[in-house]
Amino acid sequence: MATLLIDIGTFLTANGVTTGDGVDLFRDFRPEDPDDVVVLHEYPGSPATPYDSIVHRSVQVAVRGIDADLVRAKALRIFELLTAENRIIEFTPDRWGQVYLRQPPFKMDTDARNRVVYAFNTGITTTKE
Amino acid sequence: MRVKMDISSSELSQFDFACMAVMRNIGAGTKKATIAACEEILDMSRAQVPKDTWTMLSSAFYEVKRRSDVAGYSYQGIVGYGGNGDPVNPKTGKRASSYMVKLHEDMSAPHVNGKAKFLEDPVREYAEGKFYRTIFQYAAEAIAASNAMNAR
Repeated sequence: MATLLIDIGTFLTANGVTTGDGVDLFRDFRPEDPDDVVVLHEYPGSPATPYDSIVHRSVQVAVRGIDADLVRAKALRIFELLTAENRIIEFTPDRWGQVYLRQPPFKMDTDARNRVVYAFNTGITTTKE
Repeated sequence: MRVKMDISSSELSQFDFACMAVMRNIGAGTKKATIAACEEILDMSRAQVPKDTWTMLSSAFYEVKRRSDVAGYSYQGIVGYGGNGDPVNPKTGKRASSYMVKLHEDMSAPHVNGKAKFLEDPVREYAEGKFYRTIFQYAAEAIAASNAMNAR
């Protein structure tokens, strides 16, 4: 099992949304190029408890690109991939998570190069690693 | 087996009156608790909001109002930014409300003297660690006030 963001990235690539880590998928960092990227950020979740290996973590999914409609469509596609009736998503054979989608994709920014960024936040119950 | 109950209508009225007094005090306590929660969350958030020009900080606000769509004493607290006349950033000429979502959500951008998620993190922290404490504190105060009044 890799880190959570790598496992989510593997899941997105396996579903054809991204090409690969470091190509058009980045973790905790949004590079200036290429234009079309998916960025996963982890930010504070709930405090861990010593008697439980399961924790609640927070992950933001941000999608950037030139065509706003395509960017929104990609963000929505990822949102749908993370949607399950019982909330449980198997990211890799070694990693599952219970995913709480905090809001549908929203427009976060238009940058200096007129690229649009859509994002949404999730809460994921999974292991500490 | 038989059970015999004698109920005096005057005692029943007194009991009814005492219950109503408790409900009124709980209602007042609910409002106080909501205000206390908003103030505490806003204090935590102010410590985290980026302070480049202090524009966003000065737009921080909270409001508490009674909910009309719910029966009983129910209050709603709103904590946010883009209030207080929605001040203008002297560097960019933009109003706080026009860039507060980006400032809050963009975790790739630099945040001077602060951080992204400056409102979400305090709300989450408060909900997990302090929310119940506030409820118990103000509920206990309201019930104690009712008991003192009924004892008179």
